[in-house]
Amino acid sequence: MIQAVRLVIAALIAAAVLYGLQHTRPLYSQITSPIVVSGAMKEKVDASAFSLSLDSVRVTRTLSAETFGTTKPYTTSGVWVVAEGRADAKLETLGLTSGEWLSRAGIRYALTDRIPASIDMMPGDVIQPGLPRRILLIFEVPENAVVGGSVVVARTKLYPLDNEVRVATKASDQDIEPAITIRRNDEGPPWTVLPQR
Amino acid sequence: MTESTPKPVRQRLYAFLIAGLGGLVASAVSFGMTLYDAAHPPTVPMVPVGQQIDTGRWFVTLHSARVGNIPPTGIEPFDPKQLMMVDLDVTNRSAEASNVLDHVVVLDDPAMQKTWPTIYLNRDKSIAGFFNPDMPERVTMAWEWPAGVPIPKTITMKVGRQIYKLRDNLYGASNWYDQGIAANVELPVAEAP
Repeated sequence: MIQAVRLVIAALIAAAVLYGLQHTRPLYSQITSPIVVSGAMKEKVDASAFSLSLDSVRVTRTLSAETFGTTKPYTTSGVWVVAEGRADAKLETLGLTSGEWLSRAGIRYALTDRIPASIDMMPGDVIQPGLPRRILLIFEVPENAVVGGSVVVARTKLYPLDNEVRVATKASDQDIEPAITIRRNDEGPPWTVLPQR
Repeated sequence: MTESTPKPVRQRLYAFLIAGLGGLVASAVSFGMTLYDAAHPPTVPMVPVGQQIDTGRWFVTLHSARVGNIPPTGIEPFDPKQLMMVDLDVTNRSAEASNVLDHVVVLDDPAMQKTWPTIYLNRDKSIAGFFNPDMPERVTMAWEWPAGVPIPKTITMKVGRQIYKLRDNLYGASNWYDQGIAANVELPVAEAP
């Protein structure tokens, strides 16, 4: 009889310990989350394989981009965020295929795929060591996700334990421009964000 | 050193019996639950056209259906096919951009068993990509309607439900999972020019 009681108590304690472990240990998605390297604007942020620096973040209501020779305006229910910067590869040729806007609330907005012309401005670009490239990231976010947002760049979403660069932007919802145009250039830098400032 | 002595035959027999009975009980319970579920299918609400449906991950509002040859891009294709086009509003309520609407809005018709829709973003009149969180968009989903199958007066749309699991059963990872049907919507089919 006493043995049976002991057995039941042991089983209960084991169940309690397991339940406690399940609810206090980090989640699988946290264990396998990218290793974050944080930085500020106009600062070179170093990941193990590449470094990234952002020099401007602009917010606009309407974005026009040149696609197949015609300039087309792109509307949105929120605002467009246009970030420009520079990326350096360190030891090997690589692509930066994942870009996200991380709002202060922790919501992730993907790099826009609505503008065909922006495809080769970061995600389709190849960065070789010693040959830094200008990068352009375009996001479509609701207006309340602008303030306190960060730009998150990683080589790919498929290697969860790789580095992820987070640049805290100083984007402001007080400084929303009515329209921005991205012009493609035949020579010099591949694009210009207009109006210049 | 103590030598391991073989356990008495009776003890081993008990162990086998208990394990076997446990397995039997588990399969009986599982079979019984399956039978019960099959006998009591969940009642799916029929939602009127234009009413917002909360699917868990998405807000979906179905508006209209039409049949035509020209896809929502407005460009007549080289090889025109009959398209069943459904207009709807979607809002992504999760914390991450997603483009997986295949299991969310399903055209429930025997002729449509293995056809996947193409989703068009009305804002751009082009194929839709990711839907960002909290950014409502009007989209058109287009299914290729097989030639020779008569077009019905109305179609039934199944709107699937998703749940968020903080810890899934396999890895303990967080993810969204399909869970049954949230609502059915009956749409009248209009003939588009």
